[in-house]
Amino acid sequence: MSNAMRGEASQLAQNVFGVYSGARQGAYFSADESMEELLRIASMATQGERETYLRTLGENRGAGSAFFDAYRKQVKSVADSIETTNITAMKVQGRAAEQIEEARVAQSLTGIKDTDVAVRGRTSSLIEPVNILDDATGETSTVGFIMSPSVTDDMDIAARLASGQTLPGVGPARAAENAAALDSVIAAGELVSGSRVNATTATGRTSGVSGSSAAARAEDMGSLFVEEAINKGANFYKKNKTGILVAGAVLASAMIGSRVARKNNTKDLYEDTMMLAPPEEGERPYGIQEALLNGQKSRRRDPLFTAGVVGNLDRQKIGHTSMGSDKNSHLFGDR
Amino acid sequence: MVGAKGPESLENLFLNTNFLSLLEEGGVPKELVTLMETRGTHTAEVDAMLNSYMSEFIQTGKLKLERMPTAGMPPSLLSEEAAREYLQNETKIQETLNQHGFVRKNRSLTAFEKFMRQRIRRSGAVTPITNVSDVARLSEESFNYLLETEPGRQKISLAVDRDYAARMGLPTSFTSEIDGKVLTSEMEESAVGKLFYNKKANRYQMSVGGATENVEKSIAEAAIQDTLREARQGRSLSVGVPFGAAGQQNIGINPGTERIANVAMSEIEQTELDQMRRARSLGAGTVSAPSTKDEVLRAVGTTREFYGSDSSGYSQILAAEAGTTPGSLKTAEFAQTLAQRGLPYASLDARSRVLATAEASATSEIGARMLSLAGDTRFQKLASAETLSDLSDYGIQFMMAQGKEGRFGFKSVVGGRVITPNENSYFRTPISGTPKRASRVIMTADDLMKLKFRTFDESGSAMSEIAFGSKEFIESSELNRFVDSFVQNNSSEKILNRALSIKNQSRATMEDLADQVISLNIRKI
Repeated sequence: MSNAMRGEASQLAQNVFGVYSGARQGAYFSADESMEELLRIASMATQGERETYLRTLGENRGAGSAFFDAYRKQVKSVADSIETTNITAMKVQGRAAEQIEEARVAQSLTGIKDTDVAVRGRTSSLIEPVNILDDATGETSTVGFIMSPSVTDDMDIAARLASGQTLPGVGPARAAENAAALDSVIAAGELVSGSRVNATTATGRTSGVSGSSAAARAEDMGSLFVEEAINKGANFYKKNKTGILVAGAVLASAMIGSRVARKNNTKDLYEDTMMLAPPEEGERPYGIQEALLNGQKSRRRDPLFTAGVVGNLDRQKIGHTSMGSDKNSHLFGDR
Repeated sequence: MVGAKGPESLENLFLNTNFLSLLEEGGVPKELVTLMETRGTHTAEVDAMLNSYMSEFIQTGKLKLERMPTAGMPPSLLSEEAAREYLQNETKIQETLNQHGFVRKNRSLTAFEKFMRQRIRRSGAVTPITNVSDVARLSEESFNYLLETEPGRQKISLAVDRDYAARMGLPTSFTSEIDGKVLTSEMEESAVGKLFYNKKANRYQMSVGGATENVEKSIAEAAIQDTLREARQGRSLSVGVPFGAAGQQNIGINPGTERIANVAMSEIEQTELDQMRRARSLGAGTVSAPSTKDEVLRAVGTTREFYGSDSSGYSQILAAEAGTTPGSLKTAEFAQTLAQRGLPYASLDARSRVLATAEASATSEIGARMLSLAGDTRFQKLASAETLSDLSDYGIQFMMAQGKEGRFGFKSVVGGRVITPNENSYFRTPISGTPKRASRVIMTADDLMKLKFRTFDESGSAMSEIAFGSKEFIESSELNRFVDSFVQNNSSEKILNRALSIKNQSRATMEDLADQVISLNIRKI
């Protein structure tokens, strides 16, 4: 645990219990006592219990509602923080995070606004938490979360309403689609498992875990799957795209994902980056189609690589991303 | 008078000086209006041209302040402190500025000035993430969403002048209070109020300068619908523009379009909505699990087949095809193909669906590790990074639990030493008074799973309770929402954080949640 987190606890204790008596004759509690009281209220089950305790403690100490008021102030402050910056509790890091950012940059969906707000209004949903039973404690613990893809929340709801769903029905409909998606991938996994090594050996290749002979076996077994896909894909391809000759390896890469590319260049961060999806055609003025297509693709504009300097210059000069028709909205409380 | 201009000060100069009057007197360059009418009001060409005029007027000393707060009008766009100072010294300030010729006498605006002022107010740069500037270009479906649905109408803000406000029953008198002194003012001719939906207050409001009035929902919605309909009906009003040597010429404008201050829908979002509606109309909203291996083999790689970025062979052919296929046909074909091959999330817009595959692929190693740790027999065949990567077209992605990094083999750098982080050892609570206040709440996933979302009645008694991760939570579109942000740790490793982002909850619910967060984090100390 870092000093910052300990510091937060002791500061919180100080903020709540370190208040001074009337004419600043001294604090009601010492630092150690403040921390003890903080831990005591933290162990209580509900907000009601905590508040009742704080009121009683204040009365007993002649501090009136001082402790209660100070605690409420902290609660309001943290509530403000949750309203603006949410509650972070899951992540990906390392190569996976880099690949995701590369893909979003390629789709013009990140690197545009700030370092922190990756994609405006896009949300994903929890499908299922993944829990383990901790042998040591006998308690269930959460190791990860199975999640849906992200989509712009407002637009997804609008499309659903237009297709006959009701607003209260959106959540259950999403949950049902997510459950069906998970069932599909589980079924697909079962169906292709003949070409796969089993779970425990394959995970030997997981990030941070050194390779093993099992990993090499996984590659070989995986190759069978690739070849089979090539044959199926080739049949599909020949049927639909006659007259075009395509080398097997290229087709495999196209049909099966990045495995072949990865074998050739395991460190290529761009391997999973997709081509930019085209914007819809429509009566758009000059520049919008181009702007949609020419999103930021360059790493030079990645704020994490340039400390925001290039991005800020770009935004000031030509990016103009904060100069939409809502540029003055903050003056009015409008969005 | 002006040495340098910040990004938005140019607008202030346009609106509070005699700039437009000078432009009109000197003859408006036709090129400028043509550019504004055809390419957008906030493009590099238009900005550069207006800047050059501004520089000339500043250098020749012609530019004067024109619009100052007056005794009858509460000072607008001033801080409360500045407004107070102005009220105290109003007469002296006016006298000094008048005496030295900085302020032009109050007068009516010409039609050209009104036209340009409206343009400036609602002008926007052309980027994928700035909002749609003209509803006339929206697809019928997107337009109907704005016109016919309540969430759609709430995305519209109007710039309302005095005449329109009076005609539609919107407020024309505004009150504001400074130092206990209530000031009531009528909208002046050049003033423009903003009608908008205030999400926090959960109602429509209209604001002029520093004063805001609540507006009845039916009146606000009538004005928004009237304006939207008018904006789709072509250019019905002419404005005379004095084009220098070419003389006075009329250009057509649409009053409805001019009145729409903001459509809170970006170009990207409009595209997404159109594509999702089309995909749903093609029946792409349902999916059934594959029953044969062939079905799976046909499905995998579909995203790459359409949008693969490999630089050789097959994808080049696809890219060439994409060049000849209209975008709308290609995206519809993509959605239909996904659905036909039994892939989920076929009703997403093409961009989101491409990302779904890319992100599922990116998180496959994390997913494999987590599923193997879980030991759940349902996931046994999926607990391989290769399998999950191959099946990334199914769009399922995996996130590590905060506090379980060590189980995934990730290390931390502390004081220059590389260590395996202790389980559940990192969480943050933004507390005032700390040397470096945490920028956000971070909880361990184990604690997140303990959160309860409660609603309260007016007396503060809990009415309902939903546990994180429960069926009710999973099925709530207001609770089951997560947003992403990228950060970088102290060893320069990129991290994508995913945060719970609930919406439309009462303040009592948020404070109850904050209380739980504080307690759960403190228990870890």
